[in-house]
Amino acid sequence: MKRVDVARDFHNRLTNRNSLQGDGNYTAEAFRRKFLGFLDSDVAWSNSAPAIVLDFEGVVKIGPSFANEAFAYFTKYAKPDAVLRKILISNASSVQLMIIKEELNAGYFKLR
Amino acid sequence: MKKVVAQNPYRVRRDFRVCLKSIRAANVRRRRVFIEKRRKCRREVYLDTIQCRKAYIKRHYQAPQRTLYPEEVVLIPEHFGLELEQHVSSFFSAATNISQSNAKRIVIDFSNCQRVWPSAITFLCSFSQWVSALRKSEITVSHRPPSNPSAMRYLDHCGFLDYIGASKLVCSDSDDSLCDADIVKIKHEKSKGEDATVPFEEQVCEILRRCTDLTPEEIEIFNSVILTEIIINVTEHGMPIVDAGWWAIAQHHPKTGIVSICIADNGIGIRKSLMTGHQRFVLSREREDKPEAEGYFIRKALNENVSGAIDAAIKARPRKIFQSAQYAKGNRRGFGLHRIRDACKELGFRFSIVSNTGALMLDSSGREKLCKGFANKVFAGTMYHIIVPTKK
Repeated sequence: MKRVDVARDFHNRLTNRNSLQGDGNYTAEAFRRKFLGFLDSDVAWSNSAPAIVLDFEGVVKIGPSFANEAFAYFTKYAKPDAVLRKILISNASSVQLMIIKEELNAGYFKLR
Repeated sequence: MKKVVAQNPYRVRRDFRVCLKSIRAANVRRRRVFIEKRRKCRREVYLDTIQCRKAYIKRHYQAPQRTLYPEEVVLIPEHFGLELEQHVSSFFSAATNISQSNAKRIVIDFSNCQRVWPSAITFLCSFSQWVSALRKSEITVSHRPPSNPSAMRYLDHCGFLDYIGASKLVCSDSDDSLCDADIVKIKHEKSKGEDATVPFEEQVCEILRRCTDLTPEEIEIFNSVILTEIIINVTEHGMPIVDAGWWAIAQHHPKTGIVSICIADNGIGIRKSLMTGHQRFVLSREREDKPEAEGYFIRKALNENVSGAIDAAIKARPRKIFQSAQYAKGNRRGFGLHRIRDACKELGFRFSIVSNTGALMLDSSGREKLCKGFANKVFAGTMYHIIVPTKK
C-alpha cells in the first residue's frame, strides 16, 4: 500500500483550495492530482480495500477549503466512511481529523 | 357548376418562389435577432467575469469629479472602535465623516479622543491607503495628536505612528498597561504568501495561548478554520488586481477582558463581489444593488452560501449555456464565511464584518446584533473583526 508523508512530500500547511487562493502554491487540487489521482475513477472504488496511507505527522494545519477539495471530492464515488477506509489518515490531530470528517460529511456536490 | 380556371403553371411556380423567398428572408431576420440576442447575452456574461470585477475595482479607486475644499477637520470621538457595543454608533458616524470628507487636506483630529481600539486603527490605516490610491498626491491625510497622553502612547504602541510615518513618541513616563507581548502591531502586508501569513498566525495564537482560557484544541480550530478562511478571503477577494495589500492587528485588552483581532483588505466589498459573480442573476431579483443593501448582502454571504450554492445551482442548469464556468460544477466553494461564523459560534467569539457601506455584527452565541447598510462608505474595503473573551 502506498504511504505518503504529507509534511515531507508535500507541505506542512494545507490551506489553499486552488491556485486562486493564497499564494497559489501547495493547493488541494495539486495534492489530489499528485497523490490521490489514481482514485479518481469508478474502478478504484469498486472494492473497499485501503489504497493509501496519508501520514499527517508534522502537518501544522489543514483548512476546510483544502479538506473539501482534497478529500470531499471523492464523495462522488463513495460515502464519507468508505472514503476514510480507502484513504487512511494517520498521526493527524483530533482537530485535523474533525475538519476532514466535517468536510466529508458536508460533501462536494451537495448544496446546503 | 363550379367553373374551373386553368392556372398558368409558370405563374404558380413564380408565386411559389416568391413565397419561399419571403420565408427565407423571415428566417434570416429571425436568425439575426437570435445572433444579436446571443451576442448580447455573451457580452453580459463576459462583463460578469473578471472584466466586470476590474471595472468595479477601477470605480472603487476612482475619485468622484468634485471640487475639493482646502481643509476639513474630522473629529474623532472619545472612544473610537467597534470593540464595545456602546461605541458602535459613534464609530460608524465618525467613519462616514472621514470617508466622505471632501478636502485636499483631511485632518483627523484625535484631540478629544481618550481611547482608540484596534478596529479603529485598522480603519484609519486602510482609509489612508485608499485615499492615497484614490487621489494620488492630491489629498493628504494628517493627524492632530490626542491631548490624553495614554491615547497618544497607545497610537505609538500599536504601530500606528510608524505606519503613518509620524515622529516616534518620546515619553519619559512609561505606561504599565501597554505590554509589547500583548499586541501584534498593525502591519500592511502586500504578500499573499506564508512569509506574511505565518508570523501573524503564530503571534496571534501565542497571545491566545497566554491570555485566554482557550484549550490547545480550541486555538487549533481558531487557527485552522477562522484565521485560515479569513486570510484566504482577504487575499483572494481583497487584492486580486489592485495590489492594495491587507492589514492585520491583534491585541489583548486585560481590563476589558478581550482579545481583539482585525484583518482587513481594500477590495471592492462583499456586495459588489457578489454582484460580479454568476449569483448576481439570482440576487438581483431579490434585492436592488444599492449601497444601503450592503448589510443584506453580508448576511446573505454569511448565512446562505450565495457564491457557492447559487453558483453551482446555476451551472447545474443545462439551459444557461452562455455562462462561463470558472469553477467545477458543484464545487463547495463559497462556504468560507459560513464556516467562520459556525466556528466563532462554537468557540463563543464575537464576529463582525464591516464592508464598504454595511456592517453585520454577531454576538458570542451567533445571534445577529446589528445588520445595517449605510448610504455612504464606512470602510474602504472589508474588515473581519473577532473578539475573543479571555475568560469563558
